[in-house]
Amino acid sequence: MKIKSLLWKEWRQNRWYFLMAFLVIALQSSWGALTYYGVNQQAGVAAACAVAVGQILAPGSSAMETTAMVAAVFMAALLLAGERGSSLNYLVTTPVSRREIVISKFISGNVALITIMFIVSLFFIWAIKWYPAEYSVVEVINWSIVTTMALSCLFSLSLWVASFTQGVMISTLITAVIMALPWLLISMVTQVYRQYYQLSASLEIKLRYLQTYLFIPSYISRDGYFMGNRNEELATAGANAPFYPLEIIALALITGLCLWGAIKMLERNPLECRGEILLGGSFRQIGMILIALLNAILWAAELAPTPAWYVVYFFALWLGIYLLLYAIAWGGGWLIGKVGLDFRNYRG
Amino acid sequence: MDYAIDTRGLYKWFEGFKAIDGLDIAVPPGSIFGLIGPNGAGKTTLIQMLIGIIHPDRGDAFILGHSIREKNGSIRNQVGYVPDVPVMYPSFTVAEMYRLGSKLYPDWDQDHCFELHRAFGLPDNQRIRSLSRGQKVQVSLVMALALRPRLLLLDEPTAGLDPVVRRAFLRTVIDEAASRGTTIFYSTHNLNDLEQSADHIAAIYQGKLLFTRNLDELKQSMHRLQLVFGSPPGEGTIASLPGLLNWQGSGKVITITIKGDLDSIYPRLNALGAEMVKMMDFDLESMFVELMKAEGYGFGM
Repeated sequence: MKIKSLLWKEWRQNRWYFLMAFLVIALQSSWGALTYYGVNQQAGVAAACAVAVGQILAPGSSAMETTAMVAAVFMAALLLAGERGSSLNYLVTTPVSRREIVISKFISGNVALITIMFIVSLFFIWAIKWYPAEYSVVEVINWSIVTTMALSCLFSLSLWVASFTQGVMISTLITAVIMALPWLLISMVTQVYRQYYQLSASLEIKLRYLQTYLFIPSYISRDGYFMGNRNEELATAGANAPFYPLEIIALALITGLCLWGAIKMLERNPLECRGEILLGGSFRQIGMILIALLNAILWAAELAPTPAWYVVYFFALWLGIYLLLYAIAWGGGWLIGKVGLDFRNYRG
Repeated sequence: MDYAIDTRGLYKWFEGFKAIDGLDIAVPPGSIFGLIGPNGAGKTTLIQMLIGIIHPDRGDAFILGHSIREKNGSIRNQVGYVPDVPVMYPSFTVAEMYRLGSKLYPDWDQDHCFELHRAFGLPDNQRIRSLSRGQKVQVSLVMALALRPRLLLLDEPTAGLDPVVRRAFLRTVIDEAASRGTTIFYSTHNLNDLEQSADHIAAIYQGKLLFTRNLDELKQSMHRLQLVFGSPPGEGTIASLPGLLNWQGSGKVITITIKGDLDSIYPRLNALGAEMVKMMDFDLESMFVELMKAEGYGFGM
């Protein structure tokens, strides 16, 4: 009952954002057709549609898919982080739990995404019926399901980040960093490994698989498969055909995990000041630890002559860079205090 | 006794700063309880903790018998809240805000809502963002009362309001307390308002409770007296008075602010050589200032 009321509130509050997301995604879907038609007018509108849709469905990023991903991340940030420090402070004083708040936002955002993708997919199927295209209805449905699930997954990830950040832009930015982190880490580890050992083709394929399955945009862009197709071993293993059940399970698991994380984080979040907390530590601390870690991985490989020395250098650099960042942050804080600025916005 | 609000060793830190420092306050049901304290004393922090906006770092508080640590929002079914700066949905109209309230609160009284809405002369279809601050406070109060609360938390709601709106606001709140026995927990800087409406007050300073008292008892326990001596008394003589909060004057005429029972104060003053003792007017605001001075919060007062 409370969820129903909250859904009404979300619709009433965000309906123009949902409409805007639909218009932007739909426009990107038809933009390819329009530009193709513009330069190949003799081909006709139907052919232009079919070619443009075919480009979206093919491996590789399309403008429509990129727009949809940005829209999903931005929408979640807008729904939760955008309300922080203002109307969310009203909502938490009403008889709804924070769990219900997150769930209602999750449902409303997903309903919007599913509706948008459903309409876009109908347009794609309609384009097939209009002009014999190089893709089938089944391909459109598969693409539509996986893309919708990946967008839902990005939405959940962004919702999780929004549960401990304030402000739409910072929330979107942190989501992008977290989204790219597994891909970045695996790339870095692979690079470091190559420096000391011979990387076998089978291990490289496994790492690429892992990278693909942990990098949510690759479910949409299919860049991982595209890369894999150039590898003979991967092609002979039949890995160029996406395994949809595994993909859907992986996406559903990440979505569920992010939703659970968003609920738990908002329940813990005191909403005062900027409220940027993470389990067991402050936001700034975790950011510094992460930056130090990423730098240490690469710098240690540059300096260490052997794998054993790499381990030593890695931990020493991790600690050293962290301490350096800590000193910079402390010095900055001291300087700000010295010139009389105080960013604490607690209220008596 | 089941208190409407019962805080037990409540603590809240903000980046090393102790906003609430082991606070214990018990608010009797049906009372109008005023919370006073200087800026930064922790009044807003306390109320925001009670209503669930921020979480305590240590300790617990119970409102209407439920712990504020309960994650279930149903604890707030019967708690109205009016903040100093009302935050609602700027794009909603006033009518839509009421509609949202009616959907969220199980005991929402639509008739009472319209009755109060008309009494304040609020617009129906104007968006929240276009309302004045006073109107936002009134909408917030209408919503807080329409849910038929057993407890009403008011966080400096009349600050910055014009006298007419402030008076209407206070009258509505007092009527509610009188007619339905609603407990009102009210933080304010305006001690004249409090003097007219509250029956209990608590003062906090740097997150700590200075005192909590029945207002009548407080008035009876603090006095401002003008003393006339035959010859000028020594400074040490006056300063040695038990319960003395402050004194001023020179020569034979001294004005003192003192805590305690008059029956025990008069013999002491006589013993010091006071030839005449005159009771001065002593309103709540002056009492508060004296208490704050005694706690070292002077700022040239």
